[in-house]
Amino acid sequence: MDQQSPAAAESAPPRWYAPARVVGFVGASLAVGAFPSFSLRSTITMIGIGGAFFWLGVTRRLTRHPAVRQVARQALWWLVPVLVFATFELVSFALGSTAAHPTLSALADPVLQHYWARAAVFLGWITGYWALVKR
Amino acid sequence: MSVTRIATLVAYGLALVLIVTLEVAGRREGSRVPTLAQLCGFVMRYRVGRVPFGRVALLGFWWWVGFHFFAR
Repeated sequence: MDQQSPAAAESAPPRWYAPARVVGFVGASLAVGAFPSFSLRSTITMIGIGGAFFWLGVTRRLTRHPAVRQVARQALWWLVPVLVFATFELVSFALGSTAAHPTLSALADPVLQHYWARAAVFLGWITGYWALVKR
Repeated sequence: MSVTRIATLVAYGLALVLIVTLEVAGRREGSRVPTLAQLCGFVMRYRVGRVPFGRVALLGFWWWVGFHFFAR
């Protein structure tokens, strides 16, 4: 379904691009994983990387995938997990994010204290962000 | 562990399972359920006048997610 047009194929990135990107993302994740939460380094990193990706995505400089012009009505099924999650997240937040009513961030904090988990989650985040930038 | 904590954890897990199920369903031959990537591509086409509102909203949300979990 995501087949490139001839014009897009002509502008395809070089073969070393994807491996270099993987190395870059993994390297960044290993570095960022060492930054503690609430630190100046973490804040600057998220502002820098997040801002750069946001700009690339909004300006469509790296768009590679053909536009999805319409989706079937079955797309509404995606509202189910979104509403389930949002309901419990918002209720837990409103109740103060306690042990009895934990928000996702409250559950994630103990996990993100560990370097490898933090690096892995950051790698997932930056990979997802890149996928959005190219849409 | 309180009942409400268990219920919340089950709900989060259920949401994750549903996401995976929908993604698998979307990748099946002839499926009318869009994959998450296709859905994001569709949402990102939404414009308000000349402003790519869907694009800004989705990219901004993802940026906020990173900020919330790594830098807050």
